[in-house]
Amino acid sequence: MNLWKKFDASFKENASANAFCIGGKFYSYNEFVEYISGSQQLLQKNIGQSTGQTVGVICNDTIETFAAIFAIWFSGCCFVPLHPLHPTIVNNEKIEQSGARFIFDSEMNQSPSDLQAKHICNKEIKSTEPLIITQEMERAYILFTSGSTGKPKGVPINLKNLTAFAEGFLELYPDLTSEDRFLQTYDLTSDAAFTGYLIPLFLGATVYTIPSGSFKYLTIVKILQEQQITFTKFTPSILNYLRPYFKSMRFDSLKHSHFGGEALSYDLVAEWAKCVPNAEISNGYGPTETTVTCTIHRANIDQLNEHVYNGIVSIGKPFKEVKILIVDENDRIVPDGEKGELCIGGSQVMDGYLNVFHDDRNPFFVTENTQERYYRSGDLAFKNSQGDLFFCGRKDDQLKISGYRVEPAEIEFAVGNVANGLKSKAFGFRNKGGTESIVVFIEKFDEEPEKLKDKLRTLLPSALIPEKVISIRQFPINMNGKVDKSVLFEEYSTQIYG
Amino acid sequence: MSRQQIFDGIEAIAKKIFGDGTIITEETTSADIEKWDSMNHVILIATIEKEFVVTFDIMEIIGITKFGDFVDLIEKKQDQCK
Repeated sequence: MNLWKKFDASFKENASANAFCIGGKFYSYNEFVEYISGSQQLLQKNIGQSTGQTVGVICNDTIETFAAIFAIWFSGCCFVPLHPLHPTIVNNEKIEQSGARFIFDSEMNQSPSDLQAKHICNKEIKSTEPLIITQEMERAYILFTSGSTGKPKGVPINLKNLTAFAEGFLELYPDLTSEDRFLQTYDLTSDAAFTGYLIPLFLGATVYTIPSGSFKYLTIVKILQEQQITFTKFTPSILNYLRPYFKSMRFDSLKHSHFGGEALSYDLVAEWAKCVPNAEISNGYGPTETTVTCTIHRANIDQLNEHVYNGIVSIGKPFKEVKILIVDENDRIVPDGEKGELCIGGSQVMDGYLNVFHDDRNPFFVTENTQERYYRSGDLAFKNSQGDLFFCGRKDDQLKISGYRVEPAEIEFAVGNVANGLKSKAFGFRNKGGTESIVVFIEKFDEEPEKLKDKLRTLLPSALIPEKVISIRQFPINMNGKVDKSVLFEEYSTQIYG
Repeated sequence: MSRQQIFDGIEAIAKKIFGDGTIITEETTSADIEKWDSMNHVILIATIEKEFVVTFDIMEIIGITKFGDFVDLIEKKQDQCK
């Protein structure tokens, strides 16, 4: 299918329906098309009819931001999301790497003179000129992930990748229709956001956004309640904020409560399930390099506990056009039940990073027999005999303590068992004596660390007993809703290394 | 407990979390205090609940935008107990 033509058809078919609710204001598909057309006119004044250009968008919470994204796509160009609150130096690095010469900005938050591309201000710009849908296009967007070199790493995703994701997702959710109301909770510079706005716009459904500047977890509750949301996706960390109030929450309208971006704790989601009695719980997995989500586990809560490992819910089975291999250190496929690196092949996998730095390892390997290309995710996983995948942590996080290979998730699961389900995170660190050791951070933990260690000794081999146990009030969360390890290590450095 | 006493208690808690030099009035919102982020909001609410021996439900918490809202809620809960 030509994805953009399909979107155009959906916009026309649902012209009078609501496309967006942004800051409490509704915009119909008809109005949205006028905004897209306005931005497209502006873009073409700047780039002419040429396709294949890369154009940045400062992602504000405005209708013009979404209009700019579609104007770029419909004009056969590639979109690069830029965060309005990120430092200019970071945005300029992305502009430089992607080669963007123009940037849409509806709010002009950042001084245009500081950014190294020409600003196109599309605030309140609409047009009734018909949309031009260009079919010739390869690259759909470039997102940036943190790279080992310290520079952001550009991940270009092609139209073919995005189409495979959209088709794979929609095939799994045949019940979703234009009547649905989607809550988009992710930052637009994260690819998880595509589930929150691409899918509903494809269906002719309504997208509800989270206003910037508000406490996200509270706004999510408010919008879920007031707008009778039927589909939402957010990181499991949001549930941690909401957990103390689960008893006073109930969202009967929610049909799908989808998670992604972090390991999903069964205990946490089992409690949440009581707040969403009519919802199916699903857990998605997908590195940015493999286009949003490439595997998914869907279940009602009664079946969920059959698909749990180390307290973490399964990441399910691959999407239609995704192939999965789990391999050992020599790229040999491991038997079912054995852990190895999760490798992803198929139509959702990027062609390669934007710029390859000299010390980067090759992210791909090709299978000897079939000559198929697979992306090495850096994640550890295993597959059970039914083909369900289980995430076991990052390969990089895997520790070697006294010759034992240690997975943080195993320690966190044991801590949860002996500390009333409190949330914990285990990390490796080099202790005063210069040896690799384990530190565990536990949220709202008020017991003696030594007592906890005694209890852990009944569950774990001695190599897995943490040297340091640190109680914290709340886990710091980064922009993408994940636990921020660097902030933890900075704030508690005295306790870790002291 | 008078409104002023409630406010004084909240002010003391807030200064512990956001720093001694923080200016706090009933009209102060999260936009006025840089450190008042999602994480500190959770801590602030939990500490106020503990110190004043009250519990807020989620819809009450959503309604809180400034320190004065905490005072209103605690006053209301006090009246309900009478």
